[in-house]
Amino acid sequence: MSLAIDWFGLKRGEDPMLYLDDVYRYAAMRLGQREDAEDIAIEVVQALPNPCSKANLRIYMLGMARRKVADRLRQYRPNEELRDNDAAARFDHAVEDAEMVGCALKQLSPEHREVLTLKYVIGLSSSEIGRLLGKKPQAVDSLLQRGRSAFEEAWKSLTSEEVNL
Amino acid sequence: MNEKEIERLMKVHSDSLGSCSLREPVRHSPRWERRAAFGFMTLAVATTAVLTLWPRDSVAGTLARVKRQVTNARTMEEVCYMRMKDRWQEALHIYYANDMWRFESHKGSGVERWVIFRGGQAFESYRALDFVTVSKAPPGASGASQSGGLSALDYAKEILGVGQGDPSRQSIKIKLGESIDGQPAYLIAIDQVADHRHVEILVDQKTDLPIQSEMDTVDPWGKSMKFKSEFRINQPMREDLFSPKSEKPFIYVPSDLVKVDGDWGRPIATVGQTKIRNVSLTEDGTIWIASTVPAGPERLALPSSLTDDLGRKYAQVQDVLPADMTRQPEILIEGQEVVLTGFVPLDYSGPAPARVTIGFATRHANPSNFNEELRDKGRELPDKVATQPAIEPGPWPSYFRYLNLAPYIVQIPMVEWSARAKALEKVGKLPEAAQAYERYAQARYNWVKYSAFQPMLEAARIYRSLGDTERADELTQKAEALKESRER
Repeated sequence: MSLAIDWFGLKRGEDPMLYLDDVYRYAAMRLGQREDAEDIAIEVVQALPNPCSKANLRIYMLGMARRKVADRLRQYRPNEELRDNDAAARFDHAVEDAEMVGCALKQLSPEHREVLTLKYVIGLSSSEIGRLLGKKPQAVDSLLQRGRSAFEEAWKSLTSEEVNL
Repeated sequence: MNEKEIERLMKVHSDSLGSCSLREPVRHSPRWERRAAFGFMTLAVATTAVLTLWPRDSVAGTLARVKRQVTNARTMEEVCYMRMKDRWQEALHIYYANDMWRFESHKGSGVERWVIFRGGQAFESYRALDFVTVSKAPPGASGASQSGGLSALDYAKEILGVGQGDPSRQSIKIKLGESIDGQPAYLIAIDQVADHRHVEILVDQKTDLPIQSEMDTVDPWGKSMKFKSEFRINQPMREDLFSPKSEKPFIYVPSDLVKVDGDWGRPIATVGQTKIRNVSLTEDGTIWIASTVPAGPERLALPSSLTDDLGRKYAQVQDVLPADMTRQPEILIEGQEVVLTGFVPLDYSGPAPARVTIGFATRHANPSNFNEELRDKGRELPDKVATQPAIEPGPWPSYFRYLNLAPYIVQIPMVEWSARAKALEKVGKLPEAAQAYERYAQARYNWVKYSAFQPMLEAARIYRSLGDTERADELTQKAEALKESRER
């Protein structure tokens, strides 16, 4: 075995499956829907060689997912399981924080929802988010600030005493 | 709310999404297969949870029998109650047979309605409205046969809470020796301590079918909530329960509004990629603008201001996106998504406007629950569209019914009075604002009674600031009593 082959062996890259769940969660938060998010996650993984030598593979995969999410959003809007479609979920069973957060997120603009997801769910830094969204880190920080305010407002409106059937 | 709290909440939500269950190359299977797989997975998780508890075999075996019986149920009737201050109030009545469902909702006088899902169609009738909407049943809607795979088991599991939650955080116990109407029964008690949820299911010992369930839980702001359900499974059921009969006209939601009214195919104006399809004036002076835009997350030109030839001031209400609101992505006009933007006059006395001028901004749609400061105002555009609004004889544009907007229509008085009250307060017209909050409270009372308490308190706050303590005290007292009553 030559040294050159050893060198390529060491640099052979990462397994895209490592980031499957990150991509899935990103897509799920954007689409508000499990099944399509799973499809997107596995499609992204399948589209890449294993191992994959792309630099910043996670960001690269999130970028791929981002385009696929945009395609899906163009085709249709997310659906939710309905039992009684006047949003009685809150009245019936949906009393957990997780579901309330989901409801609050749905009230945000797509831009705010995406930036909060990338920051707090995927755990990217402002510069990584900037690379993905094509924005400067300062612009990302300011977008995050507005996203947090919007989330807070939506959260308050949901968890206030108001009935929200 | 600080950043840490937002981070915590996002983490909670993110954790609830679990991980991607697809680990192998995707096989584009029908969704019902995926659902079924998920059902089996949930069952497996629940069984695992059960097996970790003592007496393992007994609990697991009993639950498996109940699940099997529910899975094979031919018919199901459920009456759901919620606990009011000192009584149980019926909230939902549900019927199921032969892949058809009927829901009767009694959650508030203004939201009383029935919905039937059968043959891939949804029939919905609100008591307060004079028509029945017929639309394609949304994917995933209970009983929608085209969604497939949503069995009685899925539904019963959802109700009973069995198999929900992290197995390491719940305990399941079975208590024998109960009886109901002299018949032997047993009780399944499920505790999900972390979620403050306690569920008890009373099961007929002879048939292993659930008879009744009760759930105690806590809402997000710490208030105790109680729900009760009574089940009648495998009992004869009248076929006509699933026949959408009504004296009201049936409105079929078209795949494209242009098919109903050709005028929608001739836009009044085009601003950027946005087409203005309709501008209507309702009987209370509200102007509704129907625009269509290409789908996608980008900011687009949308109405952002309105003036009329009589110089009135208008407040903008939230945007309405029928496809989002009804979860029916097929609600399109010539392939474009519909956005409805309403402008409420602060004072509507005098003649109707003959002409309105619409201003635009490049912005996202602001669907709901945003206060004025947090709305995406975007960037104002120089474009203006002046037009003569079409006169609508009622309180909302008649085309709303073709966009499957019944759930929104019943809320329109609240939406309008809320927007008007806030705008009047903002411009310093306080007596008018207080009166508008009272009208808003009345609209809420007509919808879900006790929900009127909040605008009443807003009105009281303004009356107090104006020195009218007597009216403020009267309204505060009334609001507190309503809030306490939880009357619907």
